[in-house]
Formats: sequence, C-alpha cells, structure tokens
Amino acid sequence: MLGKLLKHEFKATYRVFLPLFAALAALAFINRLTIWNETGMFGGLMVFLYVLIVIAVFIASIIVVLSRFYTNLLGDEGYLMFTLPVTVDQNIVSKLIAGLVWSVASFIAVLVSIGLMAPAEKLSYAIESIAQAWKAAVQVYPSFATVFWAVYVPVVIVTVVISILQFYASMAIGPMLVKNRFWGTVVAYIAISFVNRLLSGLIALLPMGKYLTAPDVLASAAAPVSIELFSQMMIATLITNIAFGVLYYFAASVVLKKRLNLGAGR
Amino acid sequence: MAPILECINLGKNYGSVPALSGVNLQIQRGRIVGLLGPNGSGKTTLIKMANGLLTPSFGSILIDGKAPGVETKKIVSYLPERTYFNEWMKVSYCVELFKDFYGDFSPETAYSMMSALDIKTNAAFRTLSKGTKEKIQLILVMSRKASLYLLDEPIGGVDPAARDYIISTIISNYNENGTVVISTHLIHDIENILDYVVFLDKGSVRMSGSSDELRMQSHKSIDNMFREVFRC
Repeated sequence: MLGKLLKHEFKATYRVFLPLFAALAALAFINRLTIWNETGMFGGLMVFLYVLIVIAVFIASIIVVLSRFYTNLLGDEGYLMFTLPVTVDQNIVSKLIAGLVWSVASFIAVLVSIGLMAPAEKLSYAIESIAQAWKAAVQVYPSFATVFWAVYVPVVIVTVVISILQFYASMAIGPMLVKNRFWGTVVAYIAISFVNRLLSGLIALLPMGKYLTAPDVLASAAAPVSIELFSQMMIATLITNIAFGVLYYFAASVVLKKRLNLGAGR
Repeated sequence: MAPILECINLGKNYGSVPALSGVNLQIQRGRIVGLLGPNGSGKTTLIKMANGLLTPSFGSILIDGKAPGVETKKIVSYLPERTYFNEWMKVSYCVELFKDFYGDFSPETAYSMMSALDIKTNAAFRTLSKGTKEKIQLILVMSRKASLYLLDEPIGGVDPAARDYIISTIISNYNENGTVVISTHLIHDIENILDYVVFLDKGSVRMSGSSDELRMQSHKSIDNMFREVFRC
C-alpha cells in the first residue's frame, strides 16, 4: 500500500515541479548565451528571472511539503486519505518520502542549472577548483572523505527530514493548542523550534568542552583540530536532531491515530 | 455474527458542545437504513466516527465487531458530505485511485454508470458542476462491493431526475449482504426503499425500528412521522 500511496503522491506533486524545473533549465540555457556577452537590458532581465525561478523552486518544495499534509491529510481531501485502507504511518511516510525526494531534486536541479549556464571551459575550471579544494582538505585531514560522506551528507539529509517532520508535528498538534487550525500550527511551530534550537545548540557545544581547558589549541585553530571539532559538533547535532525527528514523528503519528478530528472546529 | 454497525454509549463533544450524547444502536446486515434527523442532530458526526475521521469523546463504535481501522476501511464504502477530490484530477484518475486501493471496486460498473449519466471521464474535476461531482463520488462509492455503505446526504445537491437514478443505483448496486446507511432529511424521496429507520434528535436516538412496523403502529408515513416528531 505504501507503494500505491507513493505513486499517487508523486502524481499529485510532479505537476508542480516539472514545469518549474523546465523553466529553470530554459532560463539557465538563455543565460548561458546572454550572461557572458553584452546584452544590456535583456541579459539583466534574464538573470533576474533566473533568480526568481530559483527562489520559486525552493519555495515550491516547502509549500508542497506543507500542503500535502495540511490540505491532503487534514483538509477536505483527508476524508479520502483517512478512509483508504492504509495505516496512518503509511500516509505520513509516503508524504515524507515524496517531500524529501522533491527537496533533494530541487537542490540538484538548481546545481545542474548553474552548470548549464557556464560555458564548457568555465565549468571544467570550476570542477577542477572543487577537486583541488577537496584534495587539499584530504591532505590536511586524511579522513576528510569518510567524514564528508558519513557525517556531512547524512547531516544535510537528516536535517531536511527533520524540518519536514517538524512541520508535520506542528500541523498535527496545532489544532489541539488553538482552536483555529492555522494559528494553532504557527504557535506549535514556534514553540517546538524554540525548544529544539535551545537544546541542540547546547548539545552541539559539548564537543568544545575538552578544548576549554586548552584554549590555546583552539585559538591556534590548526586545520586538523578545527575540522575534527567541526565534525564532532556535526555528529552531536546529528544525534540530537535524530532524537527530535523521532519525537516529531511519534507526535504526528499518535495525534492522527488517537486524536483525529477532521473538520471539527476551525 | 456481530452487527455490521454498533454504537455503545457513543458520545462526541465539540469543545463543551455535545454533538452526540450516549447513542446505543445496532444495525444488522442486508438492510437499507435511513439515518434521519434535522440539521445538527448528529448524523454526520456519527458517520464520521464510523469512518475514524472523528475520535469519540466517550463510548465506542464498532464495525463488524471492530473499532475503525484498516480492516474496517476495507469493508466500508463512505460518501462524505463534501467533495474530497482535487480540482486537477480527471474523472478517470479518480477511478484509477479507487481501483488501486479498494479490492472490492469494479471500474466497469463505475464507467457504465458514468456513461448512463453522460459524465465525460476525461474531464478534470474543476470543470464539473457541483451536482456532477456529487454524482461521480456516489458512483465510485456504489461501485464497490462493500459490507457497509455510509452515505451522508447522497441526494441533497442533485436534481430530481438524477435523484431517481441515484436511488435506483443504490438499490440495484448494493451488495445483497451489505447494509446501506443513508443520512438525509429528504425523507419523502427515499421512504419507499428504507427497511429500517433511526431518528436522531439533538445527539440522541429518538426512535428506531423497522419502517413497516413503525408505519403499522402509527398509521402514518415515515415522512409524516418525521414532521411530527421534529415539529418546530
């Protein structure tokens, strides 16, 4: 059933993203022709439009994440979604997966569009610079590659998942705090964010503890120390965020299982 | 065999306002049941709780002996009082959606009813009138072979000609062992097909029984009884 939910989730959302991605590619391509030459007003307008589309892509991925939960589950469409023979968890997970896929796809689409804008020699120069920076990092800190794939990338993905789950938890809990569903969601979101930032900020500082007794090491900020410290802070953040993510998921899931009240009070 | 629908001291409050207060009810299989009552009597609240869309404040509601969940949703075919399809969806997409999720759904039945009512299956929902949307939802819901059909105001928004078609659709399409619960205040139109009636008033069951017996006892039609019971 999860597979079928995903199929319909993507059918409902690709209609938003494909036209945006197409516009992004088209504008990137036009900019590739204009940006490197003197084209005056027209070139400026194209750059402006390109930036607008990039912003639109990111805003769209947030709005889709929000609306697929807020209107498709908790609005009128919920009368269908909650009477399908599927579990609440399947409903939440299908929306989470689709939201994550579109968020990552949006990011990749923007990266690709930047690549599209550059003429071949400029593009290869940029790629080479990145490769050199990578090599330099590995030289100073031999396990940089491992850390990059095992820590940095998962942190980014987990952060996206957790931001989505925080929206879900707020939308589920909100109506229990304030009668108006919209304002309830806003209040819940702000309250949850506050607690999350406070706790994860404090926990992220923990790895710094051992340097507090040796401030000179930190002050010298030798590259290996700072990369190591940074990785440790990232891991601390990752663990706290995973704990928060689990909490958000259960909050949303329990409310929808035990306290669902579609259309009651607004 | 457990009754197909059972309410045990079922209650629901919206904040401090009671919508349903201690309803006890047993509905047996193979019947067409009228859930009758004026606006605000708790008909929709009861049906939504049977579908798990609302959580009871107290008491319980059982379908085939089970609390609402995945298993009951497989055997319940529900027509809500509002449109739940997205505006961009085509009629054929809605059929596909039902086919994907409900094992007892027959697309052939749905398409033949749609062609009888001249509904274009490649039309997007946003282009359809309110009445047509309601017809489509009813057709989809009645194209399942469910054990329990819960129809919330199925004839409220459609014209009288389509109303007749819908009523005959309900009679001819429902699964013989299934039960159809129809909530409405338009009793006159459906009185003849009802085997059993439940009168809801201000959140409680005012009266219930087989329609023939009620008619025999009172020498009145269900419609007239309704008008008397709920005289303003």
